[in-house]
Amino acid sequence: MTERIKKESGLRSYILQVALVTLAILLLVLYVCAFSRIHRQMDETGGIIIFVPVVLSAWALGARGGMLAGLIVGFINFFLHGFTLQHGSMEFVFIVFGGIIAIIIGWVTGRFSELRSSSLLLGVDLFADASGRKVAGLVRKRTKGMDAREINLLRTLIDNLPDKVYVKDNKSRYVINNIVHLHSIGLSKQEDALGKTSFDFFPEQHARQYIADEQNVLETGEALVNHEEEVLDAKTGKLNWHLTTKVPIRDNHGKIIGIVGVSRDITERKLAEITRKQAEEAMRQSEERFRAVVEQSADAIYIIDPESMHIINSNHAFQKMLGYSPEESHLLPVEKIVVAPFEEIRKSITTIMTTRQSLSDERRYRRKDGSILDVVISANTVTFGGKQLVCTFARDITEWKLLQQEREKLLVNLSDSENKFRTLFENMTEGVALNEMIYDENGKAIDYRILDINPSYEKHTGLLHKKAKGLLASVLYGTETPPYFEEFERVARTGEPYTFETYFLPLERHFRIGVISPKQGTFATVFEDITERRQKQKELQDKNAELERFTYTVSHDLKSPLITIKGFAGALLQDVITGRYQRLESDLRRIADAADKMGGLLGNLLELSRIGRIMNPPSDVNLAELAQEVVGLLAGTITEHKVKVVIQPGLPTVYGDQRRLAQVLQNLIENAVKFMGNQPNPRIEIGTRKDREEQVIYVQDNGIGVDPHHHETVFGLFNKLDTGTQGTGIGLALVRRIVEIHGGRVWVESQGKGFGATFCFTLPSNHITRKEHEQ
Amino acid sequence: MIGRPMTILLVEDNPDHAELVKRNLEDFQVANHINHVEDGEAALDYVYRRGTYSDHKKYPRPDLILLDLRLPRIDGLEVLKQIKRDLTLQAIPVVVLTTSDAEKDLAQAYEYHANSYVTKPVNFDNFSRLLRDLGYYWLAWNKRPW
Repeated sequence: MTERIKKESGLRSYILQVALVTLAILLLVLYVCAFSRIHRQMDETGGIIIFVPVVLSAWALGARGGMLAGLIVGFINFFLHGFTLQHGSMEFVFIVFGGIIAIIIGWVTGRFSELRSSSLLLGVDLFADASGRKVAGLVRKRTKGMDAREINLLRTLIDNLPDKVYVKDNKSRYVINNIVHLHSIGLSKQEDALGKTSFDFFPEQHARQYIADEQNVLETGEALVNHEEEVLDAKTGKLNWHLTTKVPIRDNHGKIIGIVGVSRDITERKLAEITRKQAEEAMRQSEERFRAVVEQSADAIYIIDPESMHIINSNHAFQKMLGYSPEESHLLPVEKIVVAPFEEIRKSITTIMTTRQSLSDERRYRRKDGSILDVVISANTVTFGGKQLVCTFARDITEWKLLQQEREKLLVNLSDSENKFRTLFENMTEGVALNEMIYDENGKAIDYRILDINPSYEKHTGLLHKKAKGLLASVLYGTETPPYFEEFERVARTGEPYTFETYFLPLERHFRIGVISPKQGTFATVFEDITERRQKQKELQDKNAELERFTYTVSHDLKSPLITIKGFAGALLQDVITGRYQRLESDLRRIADAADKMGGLLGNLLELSRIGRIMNPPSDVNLAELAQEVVGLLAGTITEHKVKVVIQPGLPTVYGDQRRLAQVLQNLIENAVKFMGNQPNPRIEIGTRKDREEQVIYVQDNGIGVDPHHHETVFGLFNKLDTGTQGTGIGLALVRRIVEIHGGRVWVESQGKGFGATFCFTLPSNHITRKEHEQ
Repeated sequence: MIGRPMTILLVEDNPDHAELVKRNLEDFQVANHINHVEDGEAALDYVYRRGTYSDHKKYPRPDLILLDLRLPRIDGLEVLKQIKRDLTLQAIPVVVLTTSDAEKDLAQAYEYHANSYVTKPVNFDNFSRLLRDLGYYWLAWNKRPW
């Protein structure tokens, strides 16, 4: 059907048009020829002249004008010829007939003219096929009585509608198109569209659909109302959306002869709608997801209407947690689940509503069966349907609470034992430091950090807890490699405990350090200040050495004079026997000297052994006076050697054993006198000086001096440096014993042989000395 | 006995003891020269012919050294060590003659290659016999490479 319609085009209507005009001319020519034959007086030209005004006035004035013109022409003709003719004659009949024909021609031509003008105005194809003619006829009928102005108005109206308006015949051929429609299909003149179908302007697929729709309307007679269809715009090439209504056109008999279509471009609306639909879909999906999250949440979630104080919405977890069915949970009064006075609940809800801040707290909830559970909640306001509601999240923390209680109990126990350790840590006499090894990116230990130290540590090292804690050892000790790093690193790595004793130079103290590693990478140092023990040890060692020297002395130095005595006694005896007397005297003297020497030795030994055992009660001793006294006592020796003795002012008063201190000065002066050598101006100076914080007392001489090699040995028992001098080698040893018993030190300063010597000693301050003696 | 004068270097800080030693050795006429020094420093100066001991005629190389241990300035053991370490001197017999019978000294002396170690007897007869035996043994019986 649609195929056939497509093929029938404007050709046929054109042929019909030509045929109609030809017929009218033929009719005219036929009449003129017939009239001329009867009426000899009139030629053909005269006849044509008569009819031309009729046709022309009909053309100009329409059917009525045409008829009037015909009538006038007919009457003129009748009056010109009729009075001369007899009634009933052939000529008379012809004249009457000619008048009628003139009227008919006038009417037909006028009618045709009218039709043509109206069809031109409305765009109806006057020469269309039957269907088109029907429509055109209908249009004509409808516009009958309208004058050109009215028709023009109608056309203008149609053309200016924003919608596309078109009329099609029952073969879906365009009969009328308004300008909007013409433009949309890429045309500008109505004539170009006449007799064409959708196939001429739209893609086949679309055209097929439109025509199918139209055929449906034509067949069923039911209008297609507000039908959405896709339309390809010829100008832009874009696909648009149209809302189309197609209404059947019926003739007077009710037969469907065509359709009127009105299409509205709804592309924008459609696009907006699509966007909206997509947004709605996204919204719906997100809502669905959100709902799923809420529904599957392990936390109970519910919404309270603050006005009614009812739970208006809740999730599965809520229902499960409290033992309500979904139906029961709906509109559940909030006070049924919250274990708290109603007013309190209301108050907290009001707070949330007014402050709009979320509330996090712990609550107790009641289940449907009456059992209680602990929850932690977070509540906030939500706007739902324009209404402020409170949304609450609740998590069951009953188990967690139990666990926490257990943990707290454990912590209490733990802190008990921790306390014990802490007390031990704080009060032990050993210094303890907990440290952590620091490794570089290659895993090599480079430093360690002090994590904690106990009060004893502070006391021993003088490093404040506050200062040391958290510090790197290298920073704390100000060294590139922290002290004992190698040892510590080994323990931290191997976990094998290690103990060592060391003299820590920066603090000038001896420590015994135990290193243990509680876990890989950490270590604890436990150390003990063993400086005093070390000192005692050294003292003991010194005593032992002295004792050894003492025994040696007994076996050597005491034996030595004995050998002399026995030897010379034997020699003497032989000399006496053999009668040689010349060596008698000197031999006897040797024997006597040796015996004296032995006696002196024994006496000094006794004296030495007394020191330490026998001390006189201590008292304040004015060293200046004491020095004067001693110099007086030694006046004989001093003057004998022509020595000048100077006592410098400023010698302090000390607290000690006066007799022993006198012995110190005496021995030092005697020693100085003894080792004067060949000094022409022997001089001895007794004085005092301040060495840093120490009060140093000295006895200085300008004698032979002491070789630096012997600065220590001169104080040894029986260590004599020179055989040419007198003495038992006990004097300086005695000095050292006495000074040391007073808690001081003694030493010698000398540049060597010939430079003289300065023997120095210190005595601690009065206070300490007194205290030590009291102890 | 071999027609060459024998020299003994006596290192002894105690002049009485030195006198006793000299007297005994002279009595038995085993040595031609007894050179006595009183401390370790002098002993080393002697063997190295330094200072006052540079006169070879007066202070010839000793055929025997009698060395006391307790010496001023340089200890006897140190003297022993230095002599025995020196290739030109180590052949000289060194007899430690001391009052000390401390085991420490004894051990130390032998460690430094002392040729003999004797303590001075308190008894005069024993003292005399020891020196006579020492002289005979080291200067008469003992064979030397020079």
